[in-house]
Amino acid sequence: MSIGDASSAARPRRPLFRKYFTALFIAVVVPLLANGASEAWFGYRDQKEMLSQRLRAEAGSAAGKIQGFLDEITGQLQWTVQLPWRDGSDERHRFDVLRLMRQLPAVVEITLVDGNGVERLQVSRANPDIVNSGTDRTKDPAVDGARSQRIWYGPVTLYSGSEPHMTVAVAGARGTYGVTVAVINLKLIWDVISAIHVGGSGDAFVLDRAGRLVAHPDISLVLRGEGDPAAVRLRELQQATSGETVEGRDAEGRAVIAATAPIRGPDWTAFVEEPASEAFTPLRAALWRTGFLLLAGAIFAAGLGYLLARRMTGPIRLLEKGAAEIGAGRFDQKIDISTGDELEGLAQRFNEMAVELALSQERSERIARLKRFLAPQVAELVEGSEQEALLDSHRAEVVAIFCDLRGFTSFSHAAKPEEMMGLVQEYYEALGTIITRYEATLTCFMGDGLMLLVNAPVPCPDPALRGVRMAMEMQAAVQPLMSGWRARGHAIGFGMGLAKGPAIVGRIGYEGRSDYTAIGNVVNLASRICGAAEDGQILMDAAVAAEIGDALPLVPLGSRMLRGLTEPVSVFSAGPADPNLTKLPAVKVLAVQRNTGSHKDHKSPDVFAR
Amino acid sequence: MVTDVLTTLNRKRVIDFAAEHRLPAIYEYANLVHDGGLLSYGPDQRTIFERAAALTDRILKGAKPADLPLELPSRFELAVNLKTAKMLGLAIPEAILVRADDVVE
Repeated sequence: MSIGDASSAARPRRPLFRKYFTALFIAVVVPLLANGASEAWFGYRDQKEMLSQRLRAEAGSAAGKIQGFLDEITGQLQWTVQLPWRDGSDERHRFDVLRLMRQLPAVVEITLVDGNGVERLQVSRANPDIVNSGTDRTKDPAVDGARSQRIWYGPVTLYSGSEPHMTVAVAGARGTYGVTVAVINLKLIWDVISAIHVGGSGDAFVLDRAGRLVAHPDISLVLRGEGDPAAVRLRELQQATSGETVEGRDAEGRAVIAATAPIRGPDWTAFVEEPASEAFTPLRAALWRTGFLLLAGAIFAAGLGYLLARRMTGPIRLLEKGAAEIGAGRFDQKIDISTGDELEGLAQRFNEMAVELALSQERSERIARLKRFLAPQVAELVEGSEQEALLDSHRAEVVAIFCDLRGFTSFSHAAKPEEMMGLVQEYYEALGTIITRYEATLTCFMGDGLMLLVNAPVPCPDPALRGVRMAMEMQAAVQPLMSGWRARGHAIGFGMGLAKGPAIVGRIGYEGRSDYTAIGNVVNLASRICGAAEDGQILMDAAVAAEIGDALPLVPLGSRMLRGLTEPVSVFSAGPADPNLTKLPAVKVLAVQRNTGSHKDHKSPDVFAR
Repeated sequence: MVTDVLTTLNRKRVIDFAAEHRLPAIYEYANLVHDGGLLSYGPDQRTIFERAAALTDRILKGAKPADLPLELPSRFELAVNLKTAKMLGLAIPEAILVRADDVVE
């Protein structure tokens, strides 16, 4: 994996940072929001309830004040019906009335009716007094009403269509005390109503049972009469209320909160109203406060989420980068995390893993190096024992084994390259498994031939016997292949040669390219013996034969003059005693060698003997 | 005496004339009784001017005069000058004194 891959992997589809940040943010903000919303909602309800209660109390108070205004008048009127009508009491009654009118500016006119329902006196602010008119007032609803209810409130009437007046009548404790009927100018309630203030700019007003405006701080509204749009709006407000607080529009069209209270005597309704904007000010303030707190909380949550997510993902990024470095083979990179938590532990593990990987890679590289010429199991063994020193040059008693194909050169001229490659592959695969099994050391390939060593670099018991047995198996494995090739018309054979003796073994080569090999006469000798071997033959020198002794049947072939050697060498043959092979004259062998001579020379391992 | 600019400006002469000829006279406003008039009965001037000021205020604030309803006076005042009465040799009946809002002695 390259660093480029690592950086592309570092940009995941759904980054951890965003997830953690979102989760933490939500974890703080959602409860905050829920809390804020519920607080706002309950606060709103409480505030509204409080407002409603306050307005209802104000309405009750306003109704009480209006009732007080009327009670004062009726209370004073009671004085005029304290005594019965007798002869000579007229003047006293008149003085009562005159004094009363001095005290009650709202009373416009007072009429006294005696116990028989006869009008005795009428005093008015605008008209001359009428004494003993003798008019029968028994049918007058005011007189009738007062007689049955003690105090009677008449309907509100508009004098000249504008000024509101009302007739009240009070009756004495006994029928003979008569009835006093008074006309009241309701404009004077203005003194009471305009003194009522609700909140900052709220006010009060009064409607009668028919919804007509009786009193309002703006006297013009009262005087305008029934058809006025402002009065209509107020009537609508009255219809909307049902004892509870109501939201609507006042005479000026402002949005208001209104509450009502009944004025029992005349059956009027007192209203108090407060502009909604003003009434809801504390409510809005509370909502703003909540909103601000929510915002502050959200910002805090975002900050907290950011920090925590950073703390979480920062080390993870470092780990990821570290892993990428390790993946790229840079094991010396250390991941430096000191968060004191599991992530630090993880980083520690990564570092340890990097060290282990470095060791492991070094080891596998060494094994790979060893495996180039040792059988895998031998390579492992050498690696496991840390004995690479075995590969250093030293003198050792080795068995050198050579093998090659006969007639391969002519075959290579005739055959197609693909066919040749197939053949060579088949051949080497057959040999390879056997070589591996016998743990022989493969020093080099030479086209169609191989050079093997036994007893080096790792010593083994009975190297000669081992070598010959391996050679026999190799022959046995290759022969069936060759019969197939021969059937296809290729004249190919396989011969082997073994020699035992001392040699210098070790690595030769230069940095990056080195081979393990043996140098010594024994190598040269084995090569020459191999050269002398016919197809199917396994030839060996006397040293090998001597070591084998009786372990395998050997056929001595006598001393031979081998090419490139100055002295004759005694040669033995192993394997099935094929009379044809054993009788092969050295000359024929040499002739075969000559056939491929130039090629043989070229690939001859003479170099080792040089 | 009917009150207008002419009579108000010449009230002193009117009052003096009435005194000279021993004429019991009644006026519209209490201030004339304080100036020596015998009796007055009429709307309370202070209230009327207060209402006038209130209406002026509303008109200045943009209300259309046509929308403002006519207001009738609702407070009436009876004033009596006992000195003048004494000078005229008149006895003011109790019924009037009881009613009087303002008595000049």
